[in-house]
Amino acid sequence: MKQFSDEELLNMFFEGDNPDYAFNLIVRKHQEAIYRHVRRMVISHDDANDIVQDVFVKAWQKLSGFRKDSALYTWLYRIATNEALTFLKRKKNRFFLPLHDVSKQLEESLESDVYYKGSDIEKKIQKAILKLPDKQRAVFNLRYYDEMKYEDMAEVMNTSVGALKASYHHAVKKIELFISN
Amino acid sequence: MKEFEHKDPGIREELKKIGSNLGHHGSDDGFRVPENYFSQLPNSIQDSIQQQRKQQPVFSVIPAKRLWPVLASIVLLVGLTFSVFLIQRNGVNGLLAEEDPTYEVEYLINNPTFGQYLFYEAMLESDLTAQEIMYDMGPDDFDDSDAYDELMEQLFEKANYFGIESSYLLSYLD
Repeated sequence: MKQFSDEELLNMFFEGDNPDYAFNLIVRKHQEAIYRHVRRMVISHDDANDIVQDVFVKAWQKLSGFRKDSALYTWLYRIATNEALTFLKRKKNRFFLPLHDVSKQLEESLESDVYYKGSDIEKKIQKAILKLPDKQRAVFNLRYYDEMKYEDMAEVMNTSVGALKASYHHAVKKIELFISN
Repeated sequence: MKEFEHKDPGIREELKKIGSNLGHHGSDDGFRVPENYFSQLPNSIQDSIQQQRKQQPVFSVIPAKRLWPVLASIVLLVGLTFSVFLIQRNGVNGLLAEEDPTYEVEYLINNPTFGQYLFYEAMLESDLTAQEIMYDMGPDDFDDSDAYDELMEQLFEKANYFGIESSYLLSYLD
């Protein structure tokens, strides 16, 4: 199947005869990256699946108001990041959990998830990442796993490149420390 | 290049600069998905969108975030309007007074403010001018008898809304 650029897909959505088909192509193009980003944040496949559905439903609702001054993929990542952070926040508020308890819960999800097949070191890295605050986790994941440019991350996280570089640097140091201990 | 090595050499370079060995572990996070998950996901998203379409809320023109403040404002406005109506009808001390149908009619007839309010309301809903309503009340003063009928219709409607019988209104106008 032909891989369309985001610009072509947006043109198909806004000016074509079949916006539903164009949106379906947008989903097919970005679903895996968005899913992986959300999954790393919430760990459980079932939770990630629910959130990804919500992300694309929201994207469909808001796409008509999409301003082309930001890239489609960073826009989708921003919705996904917000949805994942909101999910984690709700989880904390619902059970009045402090940070380390949420991190413990997510660690337990990692251990029990039948769809987690990481090696020992990969699991150790994931557990170290779970010790970080949620936003710093998102920053680390975007840079380390998604290999996103800082300029794009700045659009996703709505913060400055300098702040993101500092956050990533600290995250790497914390993870190293945890692994070496 | 190993299967899960970072594609962007900048990532590894950056990690080296930070003094980290993390770059050696590659970019596999270990998360897997059920078989055929990504081939089925677009269809289940499409289903969710179809469901959303069927459940479009009545207030969809108002963003969900603003729905509660809007509803609260409407309730407040309705409450205030009702209070003003009660004050106009019964006076400030009459807010909690018991309903007295004769009192309503007497108030309409004897209180010029309320009378003006009633006519002003009627004027807003008809094409008549304030002068026509406030000063030229008889049918002979109207060039257009349809306009007079329209005013009467509006007045009766208002009177009915306030629980005033038409016969009382007619006696007041006579």
